[in-house]
Amino acid sequence: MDYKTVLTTCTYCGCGCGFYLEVLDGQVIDTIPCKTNPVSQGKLCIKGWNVHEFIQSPKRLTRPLVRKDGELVAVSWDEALDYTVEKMKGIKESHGGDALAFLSSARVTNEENYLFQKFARAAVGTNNVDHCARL
Amino acid sequence: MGDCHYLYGNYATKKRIIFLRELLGFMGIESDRLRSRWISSAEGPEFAHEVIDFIDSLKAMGPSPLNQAERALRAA
Amino acid sequence: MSENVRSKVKELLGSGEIKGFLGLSNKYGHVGPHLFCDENDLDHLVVGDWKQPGDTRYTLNKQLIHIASKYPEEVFGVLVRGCDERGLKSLFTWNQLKEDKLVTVGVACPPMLANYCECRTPFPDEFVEGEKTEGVEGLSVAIVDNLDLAGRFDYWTDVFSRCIKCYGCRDVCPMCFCKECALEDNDLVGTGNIPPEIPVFHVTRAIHMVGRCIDCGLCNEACPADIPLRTMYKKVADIIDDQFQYRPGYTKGKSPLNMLGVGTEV
Repeated sequence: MDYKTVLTTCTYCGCGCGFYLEVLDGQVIDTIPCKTNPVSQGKLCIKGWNVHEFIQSPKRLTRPLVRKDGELVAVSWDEALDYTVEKMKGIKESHGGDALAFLSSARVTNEENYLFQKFARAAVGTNNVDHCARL
Repeated sequence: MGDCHYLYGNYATKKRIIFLRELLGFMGIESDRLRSRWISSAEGPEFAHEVIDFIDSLKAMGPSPLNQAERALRAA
Repeated sequence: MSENVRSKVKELLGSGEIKGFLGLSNKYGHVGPHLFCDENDLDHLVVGDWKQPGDTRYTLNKQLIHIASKYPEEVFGVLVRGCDERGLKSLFTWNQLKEDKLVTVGVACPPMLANYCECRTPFPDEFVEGEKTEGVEGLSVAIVDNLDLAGRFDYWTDVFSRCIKCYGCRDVCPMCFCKECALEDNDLVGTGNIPPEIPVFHVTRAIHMVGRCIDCGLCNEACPADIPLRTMYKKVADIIDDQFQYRPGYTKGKSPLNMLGVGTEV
């Protein structure tokens, strides 16, 4: 039996409310707002209260998808990354970095989002980066 | 009482109504806007009389403050 | 201040009487819920310091239900204040937890907390930490009662208009364990409006608190709009006590409005 309460920050919006994620045997089962967090003070909005649901949702993609002949097809990570790099390099060389745009998600960690925008800005050289919560 | 189609349903309802009238009063809504009577489906005239009487008493109380509050809130 | 609790927990874990103790831990710079399973790792166990009332009050009962329903054969320990114990007594009646699978370690609340909560019994039946404080008969309900009808209506319409329907009051409530919640039913509580139609959401919740609310006050603390929910639920408990002589956590047996397995007794 493994039960943990892990303090973390909400990924949804820029407020940065703090809460504990309740993890029982590797499954995230509930969200407990942190009473002493200076931003949220033990309160959450409806999205924050349900943040534990998307983590292990059966609706999540489990494999990269590439569009072939108009259909999205599951491929290996190697194939997906090779395809992406080849296309991105090509477009950057012929049209410049601003011809590329990056769309991220509120349902990844804050750290992954940081990396994502860093990649867009520093590596590719564009500020065309946005996020499903527009924040 | 006890003659309910659902056996003891009207006992539970009686308690709920007692409670709800008090709660509505606490919320600032006249508790007389909630009425309960036990009338069998065979007692047609009694039912009609009760409804007419209730409508009259509601008219005397005036429009529900809830409607006005809702309208004011959504208009803002 | 936490010494007595710590040594009691050490004893319980060491003897193997409990598999884990659900209490509060000082970790990551905050005090929050934690399951202690190792008798040698109790340094970070705290009872909470009262910088501000409510800073260290958590729904330990709710977490306990999650753990116990997956491990029904194990015995667990839990930190209880007066309100937590009322919650447990109620949860036993509702078959959400088993009394013989729980060991409670009690803490009595200081006068500051008792006043903040207007708590009738700020201490559990048995406790190892703290001193018994007088119960407090609060003023919050009386203040609203003393307004006239129109005054009360304005008061509640005003506070309910701040509601953002976050469901925090329901999510944090240790007594809310229904698999399907009436508040999520479109036919009962209409969707598409913020605030939800006044007073439907809150009166529905208040009715569901009949025979259930143990006055822990976590709903008040979870409300981002500072709606005085606790005052309403205190009134609900007073009405039921007056009319049916029942108070959850104090009176034995199920709620007078319970209909499951009931005969024709009134």
